[in-house]
Amino acid sequence: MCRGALICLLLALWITGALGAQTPTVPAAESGRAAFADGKKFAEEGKDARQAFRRAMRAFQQPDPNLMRTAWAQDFGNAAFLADDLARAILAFRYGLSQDRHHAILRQNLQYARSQVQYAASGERGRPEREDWPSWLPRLRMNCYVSVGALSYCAGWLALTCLFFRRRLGIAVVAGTCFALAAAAGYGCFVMSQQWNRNLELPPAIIRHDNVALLVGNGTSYPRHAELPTLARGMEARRMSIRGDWWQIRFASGEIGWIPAREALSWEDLRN
Amino acid sequence: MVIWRIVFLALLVGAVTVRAQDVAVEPPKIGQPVDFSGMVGVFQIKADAKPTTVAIEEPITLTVTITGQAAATHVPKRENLRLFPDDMQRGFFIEPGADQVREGAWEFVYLLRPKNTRVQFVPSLKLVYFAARSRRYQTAYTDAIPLTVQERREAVVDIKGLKVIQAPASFYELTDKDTTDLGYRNTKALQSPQILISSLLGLPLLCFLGTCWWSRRLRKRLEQTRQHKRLVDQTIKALATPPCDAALISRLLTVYLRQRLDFPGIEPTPIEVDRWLKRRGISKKARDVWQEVLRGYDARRFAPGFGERLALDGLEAAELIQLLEDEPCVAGR
Repeated sequence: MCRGALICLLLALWITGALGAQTPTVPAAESGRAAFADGKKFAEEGKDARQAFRRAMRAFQQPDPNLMRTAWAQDFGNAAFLADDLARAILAFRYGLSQDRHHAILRQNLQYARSQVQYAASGERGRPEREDWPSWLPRLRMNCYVSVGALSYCAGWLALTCLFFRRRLGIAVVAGTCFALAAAAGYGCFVMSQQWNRNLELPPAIIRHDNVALLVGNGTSYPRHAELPTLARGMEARRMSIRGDWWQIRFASGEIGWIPAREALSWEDLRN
Repeated sequence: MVIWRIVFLALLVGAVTVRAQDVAVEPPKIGQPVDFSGMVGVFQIKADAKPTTVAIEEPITLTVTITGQAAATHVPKRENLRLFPDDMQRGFFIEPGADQVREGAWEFVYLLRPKNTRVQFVPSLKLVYFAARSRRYQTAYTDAIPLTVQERREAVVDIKGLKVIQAPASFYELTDKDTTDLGYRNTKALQSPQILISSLLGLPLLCFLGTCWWSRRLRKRLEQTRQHKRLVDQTIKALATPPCDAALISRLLTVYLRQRLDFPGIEPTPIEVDRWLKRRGISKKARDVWQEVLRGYDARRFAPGFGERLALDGLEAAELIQLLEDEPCVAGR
């Protein structure tokens, strides 16, 4: 029985590995690569390389949403960060992470980019959302969770059926373990799909410039937000609604206010 | 006195002639080319460009030199010159430079900035002037000057204190390895409550049905085993009950075979029994024993004087049945 369960688990891992290996490669634009190489050379020489990286960023800019994947997000985000476009870099890294939540380099780069944002000195106001991934849950891909969950669930019910005929402690332990695995995988799927849906329903809004006023209404005649009057570039919120040229945004710390649309970036700005 | 008169007359004639010429060199309006540069006289034109290899929008100094004899009122002037072809603006930004006038030579400098890398030469310049002697418009050309225009060079500002972005090494790496998790899209179907619930409930239902079927099968098998055991017990009991002769034993064994192993014959020969047992997977050793014993009973049944009912005990036949029951294929092991 245990050997069978082990074989099932190995099969599941192999299937998910094979699914993972099917991911295509997206070659970056050659001109972008050349410009990026130029920028890298300038940076190594201690010169101002921002213009070259900006050129690379423009070349990487991808109008086709089907090609906007993790590799693209990493290249584009790196070029944007080195071109001193912090907001676009954060947006690109976040986009990449929405495609592959556990991408190690994207997470690392996003963390570094966030460290460059000039948040308010005290408190949590205006800071980005915290990582809501449970520490006990291994970071796997969605396919992996689905496969492991489905197989564990099947194995659990099979074990439970066997337990009906043969009352043995070993079978009960196997059934319990399988159901626990299935529940964990199901929870992993739930957390990932919740994040995916949230990104679609409430897209991020990244502040482009320093000293942007957060107003309580959609017009310059409205007063500033009492608790978070000024925003710095790279601050992250979620866009709740659009009214004309104004966006209503909400920060993870709960502040809700309005800013002009030109002062923030969202998913659609990655394409133009 | 005569000499003075001659000199005076000569001067007068000269002045009149010059004046007449001045009046005559006025270029006619009728038939005037659109690119007439407003010059009257006899002229040559020459052009020189430096450098001839530049990047986009970098300046090329174009020096245009016009030499010749001009009528005093119609000398070359920059504002009147129509040297460049109409489509020149398509390839170049043109800016004026310095002018220089020497004896019989006028030099005009232009700064040309190529707009793209498709520009391959400074086109031939065209000077249209009015030739006073032949009294018609004439045109002089320069040769086209080949150029090499390269991509715009990166502007590198190397000033101390200028902001240089510092970043970890991972920012300086580009990648082609895509790890996009397509699972989000693939599992979108699972997010539908109907599919999810039916997937979750389908398996327990299947297991329940399987359990019912298996239990029923088990019960059936137990019942069969009980029936077989009862048959064996009854047969052995019948064999042990006297009086017992070879014909009765043969009949009991046949009934046992029919009920236990679905044997089709009623009066089987030992060879038929052997074949049947072989088909049911009974070992050769057991079959040989069966055949030998059945032959023995047949020999007794068909021997002369059988009618006297020679009594036999069914012990041997009971052992035969037990031998068959111990066979794995019959015992169901």
